[in-house]
Amino acid sequence: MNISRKITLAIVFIGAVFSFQETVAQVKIGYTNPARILSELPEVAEVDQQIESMITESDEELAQRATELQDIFTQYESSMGTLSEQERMSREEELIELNQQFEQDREAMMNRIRQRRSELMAPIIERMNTAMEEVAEEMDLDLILNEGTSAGDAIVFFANSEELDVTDRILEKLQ
Amino acid sequence: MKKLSILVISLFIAFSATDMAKAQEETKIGFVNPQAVLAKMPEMRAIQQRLTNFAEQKQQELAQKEREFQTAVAEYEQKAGVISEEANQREQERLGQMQQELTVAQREAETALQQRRQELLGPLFQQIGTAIDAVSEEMGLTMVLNTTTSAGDQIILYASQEYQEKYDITDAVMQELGVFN
Repeated sequence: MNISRKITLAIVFIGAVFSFQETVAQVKIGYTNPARILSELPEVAEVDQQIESMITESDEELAQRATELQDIFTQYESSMGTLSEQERMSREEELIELNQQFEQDREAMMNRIRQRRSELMAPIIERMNTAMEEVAEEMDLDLILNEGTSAGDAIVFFANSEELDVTDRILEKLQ
Repeated sequence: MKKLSILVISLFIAFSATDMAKAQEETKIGFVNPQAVLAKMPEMRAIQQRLTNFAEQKQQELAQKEREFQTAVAEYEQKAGVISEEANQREQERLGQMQQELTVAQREAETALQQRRQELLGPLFQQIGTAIDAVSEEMGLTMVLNTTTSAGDQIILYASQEYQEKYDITDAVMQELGVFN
């Protein structure tokens, strides 16, 4: 009887340990702010600079072409009186075409710049994600949530421990 | 014999205690990417087509309005020099009005497209919601999070391999709906 009581105790104890472990094994959730991480990386500042100069360059080119286009329009307007109805019509069609071409080129330039930016950012984002994974593994986190959306809406309003904000840890790894 | 039964009973108690602790304390958070499910639904192709048609139709209407406006401007420019100041002012007001109408029409077209999209996708999201409920109940989940906003922002940035295998229910939801990845 004595022995079996001991065994009972032991089993209850083991049970308690298991249930304790069950609590310990609860889902662990951290959070971070990827926009802040990226804004603190010097590589991102470099990318921004490159993109900035691309924008300046294309702005200059576009401004130049806009002026040329304006000249053509002005020329047409001043010569309008000397043209026949038919000539005017065909000339106007030409001008509309030129204008559309200009708009299309501008759109294409902006697309090129956007694409270049995502090309340059891709390896940096990948490095950030690797660092995030490492931090999660070290801290034994199951999930990392985004602190907020890019539109500025909060996703995580409150956390009872600063430990759960892994932003600085990720930044440290990226240094 | 007695010893054995006590042992069995205490074992049982110990395990049910674990079970209870588990049921009470373990928060199980699942997650799902509804956009991924949506993209795989067979109805999507037809809906996409209908939305494209709708957008094209609106686009044509707007282009027509724009042409009318441009023609009106060109006509005005031709006669601007020969009409009275008063007539000039009237004409300019008329053109300003036309331009405003054009802007309003553009905005209205955008809203209409948005609305059409919601109308068509609404029932699908409802189906997805029902499937999520069924899967979650079956798995005994406490809560299911969305992984991605409709604007493309990630809500869940990271999930450990192990957690993902257990609690990413995106595939299970697709199966519940009878669509496959």
